[in-house]
Amino acid sequence: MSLLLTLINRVVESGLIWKILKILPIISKLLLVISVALIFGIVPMDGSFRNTYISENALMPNQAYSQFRETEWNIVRGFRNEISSLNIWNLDVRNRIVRNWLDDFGLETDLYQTDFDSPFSKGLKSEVLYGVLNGQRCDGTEAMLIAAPWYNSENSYNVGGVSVAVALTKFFTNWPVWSKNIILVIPETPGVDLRAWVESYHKDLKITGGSIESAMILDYAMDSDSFDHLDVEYIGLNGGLPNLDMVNTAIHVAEHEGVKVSINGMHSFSKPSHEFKNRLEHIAVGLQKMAFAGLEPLKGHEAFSGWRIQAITLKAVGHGGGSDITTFGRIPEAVTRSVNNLLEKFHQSFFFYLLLSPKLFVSIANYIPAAILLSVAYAAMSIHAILKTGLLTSNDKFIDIQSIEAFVIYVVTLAVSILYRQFVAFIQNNHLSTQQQGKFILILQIFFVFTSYRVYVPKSKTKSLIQAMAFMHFSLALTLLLALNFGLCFGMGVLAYPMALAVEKNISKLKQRLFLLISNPFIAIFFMYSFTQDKWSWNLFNLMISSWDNIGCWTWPVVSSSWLVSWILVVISCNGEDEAADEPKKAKQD
Amino acid sequence: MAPFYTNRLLIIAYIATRYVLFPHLLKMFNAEQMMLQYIDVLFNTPFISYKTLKECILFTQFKNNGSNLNQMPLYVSLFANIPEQLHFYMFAIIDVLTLLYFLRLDLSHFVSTSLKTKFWIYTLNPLTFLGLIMQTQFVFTQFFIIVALYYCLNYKANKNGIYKAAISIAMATYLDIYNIGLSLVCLNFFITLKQKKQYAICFISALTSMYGVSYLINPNFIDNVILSSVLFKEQYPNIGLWWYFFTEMFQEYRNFFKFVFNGYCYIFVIPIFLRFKSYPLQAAMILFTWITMFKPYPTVGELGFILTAFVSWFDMNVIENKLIMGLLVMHSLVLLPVFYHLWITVGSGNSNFFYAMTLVYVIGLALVLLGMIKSLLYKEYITINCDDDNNEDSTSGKKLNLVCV
Repeated sequence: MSLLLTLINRVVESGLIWKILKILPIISKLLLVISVALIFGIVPMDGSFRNTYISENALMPNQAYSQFRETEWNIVRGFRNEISSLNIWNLDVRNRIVRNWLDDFGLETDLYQTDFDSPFSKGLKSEVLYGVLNGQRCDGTEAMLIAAPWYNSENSYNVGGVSVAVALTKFFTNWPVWSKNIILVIPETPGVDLRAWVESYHKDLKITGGSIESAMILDYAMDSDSFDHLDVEYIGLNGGLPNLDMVNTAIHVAEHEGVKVSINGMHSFSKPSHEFKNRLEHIAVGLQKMAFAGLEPLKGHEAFSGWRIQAITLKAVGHGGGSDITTFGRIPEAVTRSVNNLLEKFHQSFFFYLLLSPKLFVSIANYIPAAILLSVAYAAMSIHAILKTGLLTSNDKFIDIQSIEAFVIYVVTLAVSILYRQFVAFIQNNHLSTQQQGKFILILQIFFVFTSYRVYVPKSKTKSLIQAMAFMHFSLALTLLLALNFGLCFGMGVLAYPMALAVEKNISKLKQRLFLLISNPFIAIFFMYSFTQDKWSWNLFNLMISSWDNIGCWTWPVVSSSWLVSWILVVISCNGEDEAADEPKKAKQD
Repeated sequence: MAPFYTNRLLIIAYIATRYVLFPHLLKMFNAEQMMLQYIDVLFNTPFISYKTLKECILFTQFKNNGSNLNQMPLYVSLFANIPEQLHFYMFAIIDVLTLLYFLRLDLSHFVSTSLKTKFWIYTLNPLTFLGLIMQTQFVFTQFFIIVALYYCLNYKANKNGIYKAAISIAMATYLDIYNIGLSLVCLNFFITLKQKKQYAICFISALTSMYGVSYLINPNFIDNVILSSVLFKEQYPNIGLWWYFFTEMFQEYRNFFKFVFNGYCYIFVIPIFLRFKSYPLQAAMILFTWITMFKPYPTVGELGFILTAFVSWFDMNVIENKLIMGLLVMHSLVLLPVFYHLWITVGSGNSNFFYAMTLVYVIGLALVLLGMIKSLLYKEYITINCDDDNNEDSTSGKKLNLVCV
């Protein structure tokens, strides 16, 4: 203790604190670099990741012999013929025919009508067919779910998926082993209507089967007997991930069946995990999917996030490979058998992880420091701005007209940013095409950067205070997000950083405006999203808002109430007067 | 006349925004539901939440045995006699009165915080405001503590000041038994033995008479409020340090640890009473902070009061680590509801996450406490050593200023 005291005294005497406080912007930049290096350099490096393992012993994947084999082949083929001929009918007829089959198997079935009324989806009506197979050994409190949408995320007819799901259900009815209910859901698409069904399941659905433990979405949108490889998608909405045990079980089972497995559509099987480059690629794509979850075409498992349901999508990719359609059926079969063994809900293993390949992962402790460092980087910029006002060091009165002004600007900016949604809705109602709307919003941002100084120029103390508030707001928002949605937190922190460069002291006006432009939330997200989608996605903003309305994806409110606020404040503060009164204050500090 | 009218206009605008506009806006955006979903754990405990108050009112109206009422009978009967639409305005009136007493509580000999600054400090404190919006009982407790401190400080100027002080501290104690330590510290305000006797007798008789009336209304309050708060019978997660221990403790050890924790909570009452004899107001705040750190059901509303008092009653210029303190408190306040949400709603986190954050929060509080004590000791040092020489005073102040960021 006395050693610590001596150390602190030494630090205080040498004036180290003041020296550190003077180089805060440099420290902030350093923290950003460390943070990025941590994620893209150290985490994929040998030694910081581990092999995945099944943590919950009860799961025992593949311990039971899978029975969905050649005997079922003809049944699957029969259903497939029927279902592919149903393609010409509309949803109503298809659902009624399939419902008759399910009734024959002995399921309790019902149709759920979805009905949306939001300015961004214009009364989307749809119908979801679902049925509950009551487990022979169960008390009706827990359920496992298998879903097969009629049309998959690429909008192609999911013949294989639906026929495997129906055939599997028929096959499951023959078995007396189920200690949880099995629910079969067949929505029109894997997106909005499935989400609405899940929401209704937890509120007022007619037939329910207890709390859903696991959900698998089957996606086999081909007519062929065999497929090339299996793609496992697991990243849910709002940073929600399924328990790692669930993902592991699916991957383990698939590999046991001799299927080539890839995650996040990355063709992982052709990318050996011992190469640094491949692991890095997996991390980057994983983070990108986490940040843009809900904005990309929905695969199906997203519909289940937020209700403690471990959901994955199993997607068969490629015609005519080595594995046949019953192999695809054996994977959900074995996973269901495994989950069936569980006595408690999924609680072992990890809920926060990044996968570096199907069989390698890092847990939260290894990557969360990156987000914390980012948050600290912005906090450092905020402290730097506070020190410029001299509030902490001098005995000036804290509350005067300028600080009140800064506070009022902060509140107004917050209100404007939160009401931005109404503004976008207003643009939408004015008969512009989606492309024009997107362009209009982007042009508006540029317009704001280049003209706002004509309207209002803050005084030097107000300017520093606004800056401090902006960075502190953003730092707090990043802290809030770091455990909730790491991908979004990290992406926002890195993309917004030019904002901190723009407030530097001796920077030319042009450079400053450029930094401000590229750190604008709309511009940055638009370019990033277009880059990952490989096309100009002008409908992005409408998509963000509609996904908030329909499926509860947080990206829009988070961006508009944190990044946008900070950005507007930084733009206003950049318009401010230069500090002429800065030097005497400095002298006072010394 | 002009400043008179502008002042009046300002006051009307203030009241309109704080008590009418903002609550209505929040209601319009359905924020109350969201607040109950996300920050309920920060502001409410079973003993102070508005929800349990409404339950209690219902029980008193329909089934007067009051078997499990978690609020004090007098408090409940006060609200039972007010129509439910006006409940918020009752809290609003108390909040206005708190502000008035807080502004009148003048410490010009100790710190020079101007009236305007104090006004803004109280008004812009989001924790106090959210406590008001959520209509917690702490609005009342805070009011009585501030009134008591005001009358203790100015007992000479006010007629019957001593009695008013004693009664209000008794009210604060009545609402939350953990405030009883403050009554001892407040004894230091009075100089002569006679005054002290008056204060003590008045305090004890007020408290006993209130308990007596409560006993007549509903005798169950001893079990349901006092004992279940002191002996931690309502086991809900909150931002305190107690609940985590008792989730996993064997039955045989519980009583021992309840004794130890309560003892720890109260162990510094007499030391603080003796050590800071000449600064009773600050001593009361220090004791309040200490008890808030270690009591079984703390809330963030108490932090709001502590911070308001800290900024306006203590000399901020000599306090170290202001930045670390601020950042720690802010970030822990942001992360507490997040980890609670991850644990309770989403199910991907667990109780350890939340408890870790409460530890960080308490560290933030401890830094505030250290700041209070340091400011007080520094003041004492200056008054003892440098009082005769003003120049020396100012130079030493400057020297210390260098460190205090």
